[in-house]
Amino acid sequence: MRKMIATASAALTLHGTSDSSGQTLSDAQIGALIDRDSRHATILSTPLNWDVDNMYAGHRSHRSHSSHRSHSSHRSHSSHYSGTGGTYRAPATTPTPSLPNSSSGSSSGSSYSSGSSYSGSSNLAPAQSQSRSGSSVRPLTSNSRPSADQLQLMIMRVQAALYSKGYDPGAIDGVMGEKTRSALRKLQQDHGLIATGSMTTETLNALGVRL
Amino acid sequence: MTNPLHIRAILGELPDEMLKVVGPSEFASGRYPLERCVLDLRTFAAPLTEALRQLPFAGFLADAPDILDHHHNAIYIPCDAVGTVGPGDVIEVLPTRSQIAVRYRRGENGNLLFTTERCNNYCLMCSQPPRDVADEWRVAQLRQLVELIEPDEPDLAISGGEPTLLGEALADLVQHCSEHLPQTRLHILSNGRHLSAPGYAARFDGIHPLLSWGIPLYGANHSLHDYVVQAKGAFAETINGIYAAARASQHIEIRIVLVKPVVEHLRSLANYICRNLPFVEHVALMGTEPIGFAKAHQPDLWIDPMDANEAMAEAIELLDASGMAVSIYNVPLCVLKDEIRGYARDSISHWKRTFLPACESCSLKDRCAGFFSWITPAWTSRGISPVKLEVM
Repeated sequence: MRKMIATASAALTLHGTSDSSGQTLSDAQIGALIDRDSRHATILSTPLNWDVDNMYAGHRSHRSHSSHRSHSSHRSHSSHYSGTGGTYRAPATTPTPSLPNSSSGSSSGSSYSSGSSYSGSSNLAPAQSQSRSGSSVRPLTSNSRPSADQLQLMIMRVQAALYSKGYDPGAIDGVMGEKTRSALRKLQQDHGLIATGSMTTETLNALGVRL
Repeated sequence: MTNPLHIRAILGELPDEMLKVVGPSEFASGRYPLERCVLDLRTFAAPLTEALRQLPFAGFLADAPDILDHHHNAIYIPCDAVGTVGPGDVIEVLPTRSQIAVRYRRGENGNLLFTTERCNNYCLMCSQPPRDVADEWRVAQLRQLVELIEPDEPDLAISGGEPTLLGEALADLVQHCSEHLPQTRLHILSNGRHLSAPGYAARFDGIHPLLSWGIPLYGANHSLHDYVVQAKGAFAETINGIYAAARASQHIEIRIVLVKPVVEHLRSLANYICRNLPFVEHVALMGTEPIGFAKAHQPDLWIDPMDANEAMAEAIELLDASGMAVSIYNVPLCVLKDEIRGYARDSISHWKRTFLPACESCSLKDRCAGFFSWITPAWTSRGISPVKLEVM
C-alpha cells in the first residue's frame, strides 16, 4: 500500500509539473498520507500454500501415469483450469497465459518415472507457474520427492483434515487407500476442483494443510 | 461460570516446555512441530491407529484412564476435573502438582504474557501482590508460548508484576511477537517508571506494528499518586516515562483505578491529562478488582460506583472534549448513569467473571462487564438491579 501511494504521488507530481497546474505534494505530506492510510491498510490474503513446491501432488497409483505424459492431456488440463477458474483464484502475479510454453520443461524431464513434477505443474500450483516464469522462487527439481515417512505423515494430516471437515477417509493411518482417495475426490468436487483424488496444492489449500 | 486455568490431571512423562493442544485440524495444518504438540484424542472421531501413535507427539491427552497404559507421555483428565482445555490451547504440565496449567486459551478475551512477579510499585489495591523472586526463567517460557499462540489472536496483554523490570528482555520479547504474532494487538500493562531510564523507551520504537502501553496514573500530583502506589518518587518517574514513550512514538493509554482517594480528585486528574498529556489516545476508568491488597484496604478504597457517577461524568466530558477516547472497565452497567453507560466495556476476562442473581432478568447482561468472581457484599454496589429495556 505504501509503495502504491508513493508511486501514485510520484505520478501526480510528474503530471503536476508537466501541465504546470501547480500543486505537488511535499515528501512530508506524502509521509503523512502514507501514515494515515496505513491504519486502514488491508492485508491481501494469499492461499495457504502459494510459494512452495508440492512434492506430494503426484502421489498416485502408477496406472494413471501414461495419460499424463501426453501433451494433449496437459492442454485439456489447462482448459479445465480456465473452465473452473471461477472457484480457484490464483495470486495476481501468476502468469497464466504463458502456461502452454512452460510444459516444455516437464516434457524434457519425461524420463522422471514417477511423473510427480509433471503432474504437479499440470495442476497449476501457483508456486510452480511462478518458478517457471523465472521469479526468485526456488527451482523445481526432480529430486524433490518425499521420503516414505514424510509421505505417510502428509497423508495422515490430509486424512485428519478430511475427518475434521466431515469427510470419511476410513482411518488416519497414512495409507492412501481407496476410501481416502474417494473422500478426496468428494472434497474436490465440493470445492469445484478437478476430482483427481490426489493431494494437489489447491486440495491442500481447501483442507487447510500446510506444505 | 469461571473456568480455572489449572486443571487436575494424571500425567505421564512430558517435556517441561510449553505444549500446544491439537485436534484433527491443527494436526492437519502442520503449523506446529509435532514434538511440541499434545494430541487431544477426545476430539478424534477416528480410531487411534498405530501409525498415529508412532508419531513423535509430545503427548496424548484423553479422558479415559487407559490412555496411561498405552502411552508413556499421556495426560489423563478425569471426567470430574474442573476446567476445560481443548485444541488451540497452550498448556504447561505441572507434574509435582498433578495439574496442567492453561497458559493460552484460544478464543478467550483475557490471554496474557505474564512476565514477572516483581514490581517496583506496591499499590494499595494491587490485585496481584508482587513478590521479590528471581523469575527470569519466565522469559524463555514466554518465547515458547509466543511461538504456539494462534497467529490470528486479536489481543494479548503483557503484564506482571512490572514488565519493564525485564529490561532488554522485554523489548526482545516484543520483537519475538512481531515475528510470530505481527497481527496481534499487544498491550503492555506497566507503571511506566522504567521508561524514564535513558534510551529505554526508544527500544520500543517501531518494533511491533500494534504495540500500546497501559500506564496507571492516580493523581495530578506526586503526593496522591505516590500514596496510592506506595512508592516515593513514582509520580515523577511515571510522568517522565510517559513523555519518553510519547517521544518514541508509542501509543499510550492512561489507566485510572476508581478507588476512593482517586475518585475524590478525579476532576483535577482529568484536567492534568488534558493539559499535559494531550497525546494520550485512551483513558480507562477502572473498577477495583476486590482481591489481593485491595481486600486488606477495603475501608480506605471502597467507594460505591453510584457515588462516583458524577465524578466520572465530569472527567469523561473533559477528556472527550480533548479528543481522547474514554472507556469504563469493570463497572456493571446498571450502576452507571445513562449518560456514561455507553462508555462501559465488557472488560472482565471471562475466566474470572461472574454475575449476581439479580442479573438473571437484566436485558443488558450480554453487554455487561459483570463482576470479578471474587466479589463479596462489601464490594457490591447498592445500585445492582436488573435493567429492563422497553420494547418499542
